[in-house]
Amino acid sequence: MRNSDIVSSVLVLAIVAIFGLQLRSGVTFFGLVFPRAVLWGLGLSAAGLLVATLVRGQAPKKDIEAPQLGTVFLVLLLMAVWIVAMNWLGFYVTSVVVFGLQMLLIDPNARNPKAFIRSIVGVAVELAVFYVAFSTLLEVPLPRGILF
Amino acid sequence: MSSALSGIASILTPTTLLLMLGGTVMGLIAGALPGISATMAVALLVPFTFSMPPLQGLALLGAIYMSAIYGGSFSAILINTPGTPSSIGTTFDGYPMAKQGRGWEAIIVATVGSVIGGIFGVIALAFLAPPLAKVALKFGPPEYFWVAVFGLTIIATLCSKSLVKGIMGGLLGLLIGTVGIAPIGGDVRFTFGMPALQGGVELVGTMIGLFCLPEVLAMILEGSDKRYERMDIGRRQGILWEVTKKVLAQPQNLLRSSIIGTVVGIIPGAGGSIANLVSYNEAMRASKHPEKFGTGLIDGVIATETANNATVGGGLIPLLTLGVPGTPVDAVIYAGLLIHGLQPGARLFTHFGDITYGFIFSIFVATVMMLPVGLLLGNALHKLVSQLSVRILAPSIMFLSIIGSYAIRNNIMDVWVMLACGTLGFLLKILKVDPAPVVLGLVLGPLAEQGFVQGLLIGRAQGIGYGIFFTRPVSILLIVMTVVSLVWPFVSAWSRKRREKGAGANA
Repeated sequence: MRNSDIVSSVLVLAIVAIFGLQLRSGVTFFGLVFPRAVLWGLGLSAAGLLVATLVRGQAPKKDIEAPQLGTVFLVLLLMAVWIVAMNWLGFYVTSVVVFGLQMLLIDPNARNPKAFIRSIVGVAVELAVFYVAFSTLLEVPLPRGILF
Repeated sequence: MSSALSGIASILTPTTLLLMLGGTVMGLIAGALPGISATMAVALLVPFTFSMPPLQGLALLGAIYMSAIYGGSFSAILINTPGTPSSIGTTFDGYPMAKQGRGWEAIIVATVGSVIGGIFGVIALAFLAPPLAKVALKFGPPEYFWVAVFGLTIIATLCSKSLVKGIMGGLLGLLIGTVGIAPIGGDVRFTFGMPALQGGVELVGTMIGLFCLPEVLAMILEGSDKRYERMDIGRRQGILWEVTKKVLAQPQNLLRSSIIGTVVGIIPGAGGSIANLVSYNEAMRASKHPEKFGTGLIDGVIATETANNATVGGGLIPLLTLGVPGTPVDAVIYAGLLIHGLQPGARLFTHFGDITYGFIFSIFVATVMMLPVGLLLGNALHKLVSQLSVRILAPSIMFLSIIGSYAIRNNIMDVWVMLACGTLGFLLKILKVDPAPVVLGLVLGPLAEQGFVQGLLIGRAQGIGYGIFFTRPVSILLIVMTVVSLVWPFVSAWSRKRREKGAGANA
């Protein structure tokens, strides 16, 4: 099953099914004609790729290089925490905390108290510069929570 | 003429020039850092131009784009790793030069070549775009539909490894582009009950997710603390003028590479990554000593760096006149135009001439700025490239991705969409589906849908229905171009294989 052609075509067929079900409810012809053509094209190309891979006559090559999915998952999870907490706790505070955690996750050398404190102070300064630059100079509105 | 002059005058203000200087520095740093492509740099910075006047914002983006392409040469020369795909060919002779203690000489060659190529491309843009825009003004909905389809055939070039996966990616982008209210009729589609999606998927956040997050995750997985060896680059008094004279003594190489870069830039899908290799190959073929290529010859560095910067101006021609982005970076510039309320296409020249000509002039100024900035920052960039840690770089990019996707509409939903698209992009990457066709589909989807539905309405009113798409002369021309564009990569691969086979048989 670890063949990229098979997995990608199954994934795309699932997306086609999910979007196709959404199209059933009262959309007029002019709202329907283009997305329906796209869904047909997507479905046919995915089905074609799946069939071609399965009937090729030889066992599908296992070409998906499994990355360290645990690390990827943790990085994405921390990003999700970043998004949730910045609206509640405040953008700057959340960013310093999550940035620090990301550094710990990425670099094993940062996992000693002295190195971590040094890094987190650096991060706090870097993000303060960014914060001031964005919120005042570039007038980019940043999420505000109970802190800042 | 007056709008052009007014645009040029708007560029020559201290604030705009300072912004462009900042953009040149940022682009140079981003391009020099392996892992940060020009696309990623421009995508991350697009949202921050939102609060600026349109011309200032575009001038900043243009400066980042041009200098990021040039910045790629620093890491190509100093650590044998192209900072951007446009500098792959620069490693062939640039790195051997650096190993011989001629790193600074290679950097000067790359700088002068990039500036000359960049200026050539911008001049081509200034002279070719306006007449093409006049032609585009005659286009109706069926022609715009075919222009979008023609743009989508870029996928064939972008995805030479698996065309089916490229098509799937493009169609996926078209599908994501249909989320929200239909352009004709106002039907609400694919919102999954979420009112925040009624306005559609925010383009910039989606691009940041698809282009930046997968690269950051790859960077993290590759290694946390990669360090490169610092070598003596051979800086000395008087070298600048000495090397500049050597570069200027190759006018044929400079002209050939500039033309190749501009033409390749105009062809949808090709871009700097192809131009630099084509140009290197042509320089080698034209040389009296081709056997010396790859050993540290300045001719090779001139060819690649002149060509890749010439693609910037060339690539903007189809974008500004037809609304068809030729490369992924142009797709991001497309989004940059949209957030300033400018619809890429012929109207840019008729209704927003001051902004459009000002933008073109700003790229010219930014190209000239690269010369002093690149040479002054050279040493600092050498240190940065060899020492910057992923543990700082990766969270910094995530931080910019979050602010950037939030800043456009102050909508937290856009940040979630960015994260979802980033996750999808990573998934697609491990499934060997390129994210570029997805973005292309997303950008061209609305143009295709509007052209298709409006064209169909006109066809029905005329009693010919779908026939309207196949009977108008310009449509027929566009269909022919589409077929040629789609078939060309296969023909070229077939003829290359035949040539190689023939060469093998002769040997």
